[in-house]
Amino acid sequence: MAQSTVDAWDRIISLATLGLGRHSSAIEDLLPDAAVKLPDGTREQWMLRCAAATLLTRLAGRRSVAAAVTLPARAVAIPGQTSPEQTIADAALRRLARLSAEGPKELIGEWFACARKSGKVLPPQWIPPIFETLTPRMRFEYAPVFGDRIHWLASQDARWTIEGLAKEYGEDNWLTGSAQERIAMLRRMRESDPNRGRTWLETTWSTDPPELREAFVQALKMGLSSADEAFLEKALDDKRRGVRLAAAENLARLPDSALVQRSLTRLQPLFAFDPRQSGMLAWASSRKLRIELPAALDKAALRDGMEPKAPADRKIGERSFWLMQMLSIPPLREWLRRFNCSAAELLEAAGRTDYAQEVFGALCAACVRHPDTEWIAALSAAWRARAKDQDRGAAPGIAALLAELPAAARDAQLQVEIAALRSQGSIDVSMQLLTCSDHAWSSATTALAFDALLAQIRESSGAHAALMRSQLESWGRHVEVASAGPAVHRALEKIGPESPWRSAVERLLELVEFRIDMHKELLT
Amino acid sequence: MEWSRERIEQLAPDAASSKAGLGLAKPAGWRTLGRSDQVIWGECQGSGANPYQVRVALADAGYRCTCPSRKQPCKHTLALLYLYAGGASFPNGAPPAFVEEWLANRAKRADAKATRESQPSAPVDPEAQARRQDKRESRIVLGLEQLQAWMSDIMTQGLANARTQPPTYWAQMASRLVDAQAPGLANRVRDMATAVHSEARWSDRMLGALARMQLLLDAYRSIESLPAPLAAEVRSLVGWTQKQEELLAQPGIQDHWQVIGRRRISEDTLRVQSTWLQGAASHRLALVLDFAVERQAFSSALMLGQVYAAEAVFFPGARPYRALLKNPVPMTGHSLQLTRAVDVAGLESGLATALAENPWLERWPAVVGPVTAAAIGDRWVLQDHQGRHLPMARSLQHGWSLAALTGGDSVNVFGEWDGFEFEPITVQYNAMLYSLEQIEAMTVLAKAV
Repeated sequence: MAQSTVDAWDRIISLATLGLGRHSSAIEDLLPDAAVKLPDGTREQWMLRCAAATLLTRLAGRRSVAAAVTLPARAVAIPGQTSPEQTIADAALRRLARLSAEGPKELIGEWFACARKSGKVLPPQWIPPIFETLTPRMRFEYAPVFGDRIHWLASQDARWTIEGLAKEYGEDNWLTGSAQERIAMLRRMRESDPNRGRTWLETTWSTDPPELREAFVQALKMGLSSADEAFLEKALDDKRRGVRLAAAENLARLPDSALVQRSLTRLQPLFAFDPRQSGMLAWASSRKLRIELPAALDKAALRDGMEPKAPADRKIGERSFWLMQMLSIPPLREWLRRFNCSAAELLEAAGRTDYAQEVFGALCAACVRHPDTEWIAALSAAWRARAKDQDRGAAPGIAALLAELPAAARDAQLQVEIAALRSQGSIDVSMQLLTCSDHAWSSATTALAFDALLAQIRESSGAHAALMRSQLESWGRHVEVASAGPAVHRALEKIGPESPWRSAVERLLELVEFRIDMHKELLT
Repeated sequence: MEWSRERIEQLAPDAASSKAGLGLAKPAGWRTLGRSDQVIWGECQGSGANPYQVRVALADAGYRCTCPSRKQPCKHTLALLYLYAGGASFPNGAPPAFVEEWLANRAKRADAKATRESQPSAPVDPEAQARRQDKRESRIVLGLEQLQAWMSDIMTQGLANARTQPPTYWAQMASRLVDAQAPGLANRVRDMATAVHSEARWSDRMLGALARMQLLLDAYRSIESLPAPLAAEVRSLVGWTQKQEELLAQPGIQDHWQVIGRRRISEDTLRVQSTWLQGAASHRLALVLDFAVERQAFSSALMLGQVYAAEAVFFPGARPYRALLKNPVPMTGHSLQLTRAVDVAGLESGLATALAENPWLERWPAVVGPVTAAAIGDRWVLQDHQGRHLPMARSLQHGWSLAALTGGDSVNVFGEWDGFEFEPITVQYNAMLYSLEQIEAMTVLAKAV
């Protein structure tokens, strides 16, 4: 476009912005190169006509310059790939859009898990809007769902890179990656080759910034083994508190670690169970659990992660607090070995001490760190007894004990607990326990859950019922999809239209049907 | 044509209705469901005592529900359609009374309409009409003089000064023009009020609007000496409109009209639906505008990606673009093609030619291609095979969607060019049309059905 046109337009704009009233000079002088001859009319009209002519010239006269063509490299099919990637159906995509907009957000992970299982991919034009709604972690976990086009996009712009997804990553990537990428890489490596992951960590440890070191040590929880002990022990001396705490936590979870041994040594004089009597005396006297409070926390104890000050909201003496921290570290079967007793015996004896409540809490914490079947059974029996006394902590307490178990064991144990709670009549606690159990339930667990639900509805009364109804929706995310559909329908048949449970169960049905539809859309 | 979920969603007045309809699309909630050849019906148990009776004619999507909802089509109608599209069981049978009544009424209305249209309209008293037109003409002339004075005043005081004026400054001039029976000019003044307060390039936009207005005033004053199409355009821009019945009575262009673009915009309570068509044989581009107030449904049911055999009647003007479709009949088995694609040089010279015929043209529809989407800095452009760039609208966030879709391949794109930016509406790739759609909270390039 001729520069003069641009200039003319700019000149007119500046004149017009200030206003012609400011200019007393003759109009010919204002725009000497004006294309429009001065017709009849005022200065203002003339100015506007000039503007019109200039505008039209500008618009009509625009001619872009041809240039060297710089096209991006085209996305190519992967060599060796015989069939094009199958794309996910439209209905499923719209469902995902709905989930992203209104939730429940927890189902997005399930949507992607189904998608990944189906082997189908997002149609390429859906990648940009969807990618932006996912966290870097989810993008990494569900990378296959993005198909091959994501790699081409990443080659166009780094924002489409999935962090941690280098096909074969090695020490180079570890050294040069961003913080997020390296954390993702470490986690990934700890899943397949934990020792290699830890070795990477060791190579850059001295130069990594504190926040990153903290995140790395936390990541060592995955694939934790005694091979990591030497490194973690050194990390107990780190400058950054978060690193020390994370290292201590990891070491506490290693049953044979030096840290655990040190805790046991510390506890030796403080936590003792009377020796087992033999013969007649065994029946006459009950064994006593003797508890002494530690006099002080020495440097070694602080180094092992002991916290000197109790949190303000916890009503506990300082020295008791120290003892309970120590007690929550060693694996519980160690006590059975040392004291030649069963878990139930020890628990019962603990209940007769002055510190019954606190010891119980410490033992539960230890059980979470070192899951053990005998102890889980004993501790949950204790929780069940408390449930009968309306202890609100029973359901979350039992759920916490199960949470660290591997998936199948967790589900199986859950069934045991539900049955036990029901047989003692604590049906509302069993419902609460189900609500606290946020893992994917098996069909057996699902059946038990609905059984409990129907029983609860029959006996429904009082305050608990209202709370339960509001939590019923969260069940919908955990029930096993295949069996839940008919189960909810059966439940609805048994619930009259007037029941206060009706709307909650209908919402549950909606959620279950949503998941059923989602599975159908993605997996058929 | 098949009833698919996407078709029902296009029929819905908004996303909330569509969702509510889905929620009701469970057989358990319907007391009756049935169908005959042409109609489906059902009775939906609502919150009231009596169930709502819904009927839908399958061929032309005519519907009626007895619920009091102001949003049409209501969620019960949508639910019935979702059930049908989802394969629920609709037992064949004789329609119950409420369906028969509705069908009978529809037939009666169709007959009455046909009779009305075939009859000559009431004779217009030519003298009275001429008097009315003269009166309007003199009002307009007066309004123009007031407008000219007002515009000259802006030029004297300056655009910067105009920017500080209160909203009444613009509203008063606009209402004077409405009184002068020049609604087209009134709309332009209202648009100026928005332009002057915009952030980007406000003085360019303002001066451009004033310049075009001046051109319009000058043109109207000498309208007798203008060629007929240009005169028609000027009259239309000032605000003289033609009755739709008169327009429909005129002959149009018979063709297979392909729906190559569709967009809905809400401005306050007015919703505007723009449907772009391209004639398969004539390659003409046409725009059909529908208006709906608040929650009404749009009257036109043209579907994106469909082809209709119809006659298109164009509104009078210098470069006829806006049109009405007479009796559109959907064609099956025809695939859609964006044709007559131009490269950037072609677009630029095309705009020049168009402006010569109609200087007030602000948006020029065209098919450009083959082009590739490329990001230059923070802007997206379409690059043709000569290496010329077409900047895309700055508000474009879906450049990446386009790039992802095509993977660097070149495509044909239909959109509107305003001389500075190109606004893409539809993309053709691998024989499929893709259009930017709002799905829940995402903007996605969705395939047209």
